[in-house]
Amino acid sequence: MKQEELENYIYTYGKELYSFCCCVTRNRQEADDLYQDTFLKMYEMADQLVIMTNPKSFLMGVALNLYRNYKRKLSIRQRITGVSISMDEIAESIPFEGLETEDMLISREECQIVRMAVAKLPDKYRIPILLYYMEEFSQAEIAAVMQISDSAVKTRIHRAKKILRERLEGLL
Amino acid sequence: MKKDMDQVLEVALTPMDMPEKELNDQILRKVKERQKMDNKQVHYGRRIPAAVLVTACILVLCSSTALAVYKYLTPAEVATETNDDTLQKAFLGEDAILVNETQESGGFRITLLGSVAGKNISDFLSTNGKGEVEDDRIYTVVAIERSDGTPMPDTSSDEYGKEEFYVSHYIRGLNPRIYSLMSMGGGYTEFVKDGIQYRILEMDNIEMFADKGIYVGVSSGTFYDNDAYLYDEATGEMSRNSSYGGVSVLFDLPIDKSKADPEAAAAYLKAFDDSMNTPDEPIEKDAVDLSVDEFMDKLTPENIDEYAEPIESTRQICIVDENGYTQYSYELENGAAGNGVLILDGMFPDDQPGMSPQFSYNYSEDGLKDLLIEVFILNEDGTITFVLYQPKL
Repeated sequence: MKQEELENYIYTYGKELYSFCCCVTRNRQEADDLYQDTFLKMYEMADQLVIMTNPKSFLMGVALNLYRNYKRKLSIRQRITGVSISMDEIAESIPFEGLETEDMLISREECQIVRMAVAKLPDKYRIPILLYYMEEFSQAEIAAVMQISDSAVKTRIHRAKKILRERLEGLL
Repeated sequence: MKKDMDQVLEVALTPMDMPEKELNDQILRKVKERQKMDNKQVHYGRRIPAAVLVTACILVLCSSTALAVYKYLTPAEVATETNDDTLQKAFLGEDAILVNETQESGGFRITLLGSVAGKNISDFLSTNGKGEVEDDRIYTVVAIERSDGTPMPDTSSDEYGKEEFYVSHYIRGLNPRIYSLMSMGGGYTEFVKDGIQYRILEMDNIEMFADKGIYVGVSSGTFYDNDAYLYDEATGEMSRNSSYGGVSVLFDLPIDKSKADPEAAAAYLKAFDDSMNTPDEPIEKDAVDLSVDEFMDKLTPENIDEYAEPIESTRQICIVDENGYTQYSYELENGAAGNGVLILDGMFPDDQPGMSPQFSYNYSEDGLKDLLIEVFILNEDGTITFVLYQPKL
């Protein structure tokens, strides 16, 4: 892969991938690492791929695999320290101006609450929700990236929404 | 108002996190670093007298054909792969020579892709032994692949480098044994892509010899091989040795004869001869070196304990392998560490057990204060005891 191609991918998919990394890791530093490693992995693997038909899907798949590897390495530390979710970091990532254009469907604070609720979901529900609503993947694409069946994706999204509805009762 | 769950999630989870510019820059920097590591760069900094060149002789028939090919990277693309933007532009310029001629020999298919010469046409100018920047250079690109289609090993592979090639320009009328890459400030950069090994060779700009004629040769080995080519002193003609067993190809570089400059060529040859006839300056030893030399000269297995003492933490018993090699390693309390491979041959007189009279040693500018002496003892059972000694001060 040429450097210009990689720059193009960063320009085109950087924001979506970085948002995904932030929401998956729930930690800015780990998001930076995951984002960087994903593009470097893409660069390494690109020459082995004949045709990259869906670069975005490929990137998310790489990010997800790397995240799973991170988790395995961090599992011992997390068992001791617990997973901390930084409310400030999540709030920081929501630009007020960006939301104003969305017909003020929900306020900045409400948005923050929703993100927090998603962040607290276990991986098996959080990741399909992020891929579906944040990355606008189809259920089939999510199934391919997560390497689970279409029906499993459907079930997980359904259950995730059920949990979120309960947690966001006052908001919805 | 009851809000729709899907809409709320879509809005709240809209990608809004932007990576810092520095983060993206960091990725691109790392990619560049990796590319550089993949492209093994070798530069011969010194002019090496032809007298040291190694020869080999294996008699096998080889064949040679010439044909046009279009499946390779262009010279400009090859330069791009090595992150040399300036050279890439030079290869796209009017002065570049594009050849695309292929010859086969010794089981390899070699293609001369192109050449370009001039001042400051690379991002990676090297310096010569005097510290002067070598800015006037000729760059030529060749592609090397196996005739049977088996891919060439990647530079990261252990197999890489096992097939060695000496690629050089030669000048009609000048003995190739003396005038070639090694002696004319040469070097190369290479990488493997899609099973094809690309090499950019560079050396002093020899366009001034354009009226004589310039060759590009690729032969087996790391040095110029006398047996790979025939050189006729009378005519100055160079040709492939068809009975040579390894790779031996020779291309005529279609260089523009109007670039010849006999005066500059004569001056170059004079400077070349002068440099060849100037003996290397001996390394001047300072007081520290002399004190260490003096200390080591008096050391024998019999008196070593009088002048030095063992560092017991480094003592170890090493097994000798079937080739007569033994490996050792050590780490000192101050964090210094070392390792090595000992070749037993000749280390122990008459192969008798006991301490070897040969000591290897290393030291810094502190001389005797940090002198470390490597001591090897042949044991009765054939194993080797390694231990470091330091001077008693």
